[in-house]
Amino acid sequence: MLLLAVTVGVILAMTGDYTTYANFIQAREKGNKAVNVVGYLAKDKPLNYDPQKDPNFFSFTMLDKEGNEQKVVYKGSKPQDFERSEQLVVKGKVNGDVFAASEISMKCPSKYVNDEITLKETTVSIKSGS
Amino acid sequence: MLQFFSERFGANGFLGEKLWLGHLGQFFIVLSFCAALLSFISYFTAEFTEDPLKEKSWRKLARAAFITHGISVVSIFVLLFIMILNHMFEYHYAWRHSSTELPLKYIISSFWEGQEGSFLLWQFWLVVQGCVGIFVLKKFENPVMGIVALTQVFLGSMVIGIYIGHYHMGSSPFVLLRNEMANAPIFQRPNYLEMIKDGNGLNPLLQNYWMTIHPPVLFCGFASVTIPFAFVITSLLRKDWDGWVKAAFPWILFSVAVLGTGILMGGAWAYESLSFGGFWAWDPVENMSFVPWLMVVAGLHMLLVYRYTKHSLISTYVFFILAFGLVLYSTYLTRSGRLGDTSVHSFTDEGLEPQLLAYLAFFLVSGFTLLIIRIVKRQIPSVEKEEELGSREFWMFIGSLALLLSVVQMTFTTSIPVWNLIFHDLLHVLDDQHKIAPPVEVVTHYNAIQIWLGMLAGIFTGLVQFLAYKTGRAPKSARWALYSLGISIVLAALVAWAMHIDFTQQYVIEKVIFVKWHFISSYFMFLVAAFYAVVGNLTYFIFVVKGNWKLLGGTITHFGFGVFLLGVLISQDKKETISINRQGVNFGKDFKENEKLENILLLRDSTLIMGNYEVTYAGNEEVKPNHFFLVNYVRKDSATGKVVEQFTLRPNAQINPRMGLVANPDTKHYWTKDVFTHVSSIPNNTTLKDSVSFVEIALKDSFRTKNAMIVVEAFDPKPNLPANFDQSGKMVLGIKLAAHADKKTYELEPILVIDMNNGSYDNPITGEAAELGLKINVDKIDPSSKKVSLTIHETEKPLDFIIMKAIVFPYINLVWIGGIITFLGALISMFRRILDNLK
Repeated sequence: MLLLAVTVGVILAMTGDYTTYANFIQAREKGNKAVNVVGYLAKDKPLNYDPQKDPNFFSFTMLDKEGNEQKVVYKGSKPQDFERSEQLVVKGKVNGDVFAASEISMKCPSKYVNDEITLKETTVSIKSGS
Repeated sequence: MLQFFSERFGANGFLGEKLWLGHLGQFFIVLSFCAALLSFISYFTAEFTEDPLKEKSWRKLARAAFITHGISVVSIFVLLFIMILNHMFEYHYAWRHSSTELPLKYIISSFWEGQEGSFLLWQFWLVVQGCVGIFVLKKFENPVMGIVALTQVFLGSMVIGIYIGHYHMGSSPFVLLRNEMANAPIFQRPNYLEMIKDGNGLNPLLQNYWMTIHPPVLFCGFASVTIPFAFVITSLLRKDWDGWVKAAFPWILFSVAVLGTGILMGGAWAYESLSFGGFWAWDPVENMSFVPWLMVVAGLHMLLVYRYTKHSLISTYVFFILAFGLVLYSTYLTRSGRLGDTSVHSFTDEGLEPQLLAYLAFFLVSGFTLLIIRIVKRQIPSVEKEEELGSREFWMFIGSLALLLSVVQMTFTTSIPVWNLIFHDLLHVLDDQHKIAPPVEVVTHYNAIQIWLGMLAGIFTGLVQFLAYKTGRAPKSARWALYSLGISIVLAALVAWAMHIDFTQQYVIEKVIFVKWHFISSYFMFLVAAFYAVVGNLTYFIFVVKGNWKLLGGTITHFGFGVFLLGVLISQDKKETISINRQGVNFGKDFKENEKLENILLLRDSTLIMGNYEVTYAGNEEVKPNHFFLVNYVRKDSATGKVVEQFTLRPNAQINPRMGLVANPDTKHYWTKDVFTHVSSIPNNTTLKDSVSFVEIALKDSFRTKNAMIVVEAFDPKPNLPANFDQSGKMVLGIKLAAHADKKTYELEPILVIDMNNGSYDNPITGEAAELGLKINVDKIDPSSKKVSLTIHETEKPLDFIIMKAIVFPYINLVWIGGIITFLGALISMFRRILDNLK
């Protein structure tokens, strides 16, 4: 019984940490509560990353799945190939005008899992005869 | 007949394919599956046969079938190696997981990169353990080996790759590339194989020597969990409550040692080759390999309690069934692709989800059903008397419950994708907005609970052995438990003082400073607990049992566990990111954000102070496919300025065409600390742009280009002409230019050439400043204004810098040493139990 009570208590305590998915409008409503937003990079908007000025400041504009636009700021270095991302998940909360992301995960079109056959260039090599 | 052979052995219109290997491989896969099935059936028939003669012949058949199965598995192994070693890219597996440029050790790793290979690895180890079992299990052979064979049937079905109706059961490693990707136009050509340049290669993150040995050890561990489970089922089937205990001990201890080693090696891999700087990140895949181990450890302790007190038999059964169930569940989570987004490990859905679920359900349901039947029928003996509060068994039980809680938390949070699957996708209880996502601060989330459980584990490890079984009264020698506690508190205080461990944390909110007790309660107590595990075991072994070698194994294990805890505590709490960026930093009110500013930009040949070191980015070298960046560390004596320590690290950051930047850190190892360096970003120099601009300008005037400020210094009627220039009939005029950039001055002299015969401009001679990527031509001169027209070609200068992260981990070696001692201790115990059983 005691064990059961403790287990249930622990699980309940834990679920408090869990976050949910939201779009940017809901994220704004939730204010200080962290959420996960799934969406896409707005490729027509500029990416702001100047490592010579500050290697830990990266900002970009993202669209959530409903198309709401939001500027996202991430305190860290820009993930390589970020421009090529197909889908983004940002975890964080809205802070004033910007969404402060504590974590960015991205899906790339050709990650390792994709099958892509690299072909030899079609050149004909001729051995020089003796 | 001829057609049959030509279809199967090559003359099928495709050139160069070595089809014999695949056919032979597929033959062995089917044989191994059928032999395992036969072995299972025969073993169980033998088990339930009354007649000893029939039993003997069934057992003989079962053994023969198991050996046949074993030979088949080894043959599949060898064939798969031949396929990968010889780069037979007509096979999907070789093409997908290897490439020609891989060195041998990584070719071995490509073997188990794919899930087919890892299932085979698992089967292989169970074959090895089963063969040992045939020799040593004696009267337990029939049921235990029967269950081993049944497990092999299930594992075999994962790689069999056949259609049953429309369902594709398992996926075989011998599938041809042209069958796997049948729609690709390249396979229209008979000579397609000549055109495939190379395999897909091994994921660069897995190109690390730990990846060559970590998976085999881990899978040996996973396989070994089958045998305690098989003993439990045997015991429940036969209603033999005591006989199995002694026989099972060595197997359980083997499992503890090998699975534990495998997990620790995974930590070593993460530490050596991943970017997060640490050996454990509470990643779902890590958690799910850890929980079965915890359950086996809990089960082991419960079995000890049962052996000496007859208490806790049911808990023992529950723990071992759960341990095996968790191995299957973790396989389900990682192989079904459900973890996809929440793990750094990328696994994809291989279409095995229904099979995986079916096996999980089969073993869990049959195990627990059997247990419940025995409980309901009151067939399991139990002791009427409750455990005494001061007895050893009571506290061992509490300790095992702590382990169970730890498992519950890890499994529950790791299963978030499964909760969404059930409550969102299937039951529609949760709408899109309420789908659960993992916590923001995963580490904090786990630590909040696991720290306390780890602390309990430390204290129990030190304390419990001083208590006696069956009696609530502590023996006289238990006074050593108290002495040890005193020593531990002193040691912990000393360490806290010597290592400057802060017990307070300051928050500055709106210019008001708040001081909060930082973890003192938990952190200091944890330190005491870790020391207690170390000291308690030492004093117990020296003063209480006075060096009785029979207890050596357990003592060493528990001692090692304490050392391990110490290593975790010190290396993690005192780890220091020395590459803190102080340039663009806005030291805002939120302290936590500053912690994240741990990337720093280091220009080529420039030096920054990081911690005690002067750090210089000294250059890079490319050894395809790797790209190493040389980072020099120099520590000087602050008083004399003499260099006291100097080393160069070579972190690797390759731009992989498929994965983007793949970075492997490099670490300088000392006995007392590690200096970890990781390149998080490098400039993208693939899209350098050339620019062309025009300018009309007078003498002594200046103009700007992208990289330089250029002054027209003078006109030079006698410029230096190239050696082969034919000056006859031509007039030349040099324009002396000075380009100022980076506090240096570069001289260029483009030359105007005029044909004297018709007064037209001839091809001019280019002036060049190669270091600036600058080329200037002079096109004409206006005779009246004396202005010259220049064409400026400027190539964007490639940037050369790295963005890096450097972390110092003090005493991280304690983690590895502690782990090794723990598992050595478990092996010593195993040998002791084997020797006992031989008597």
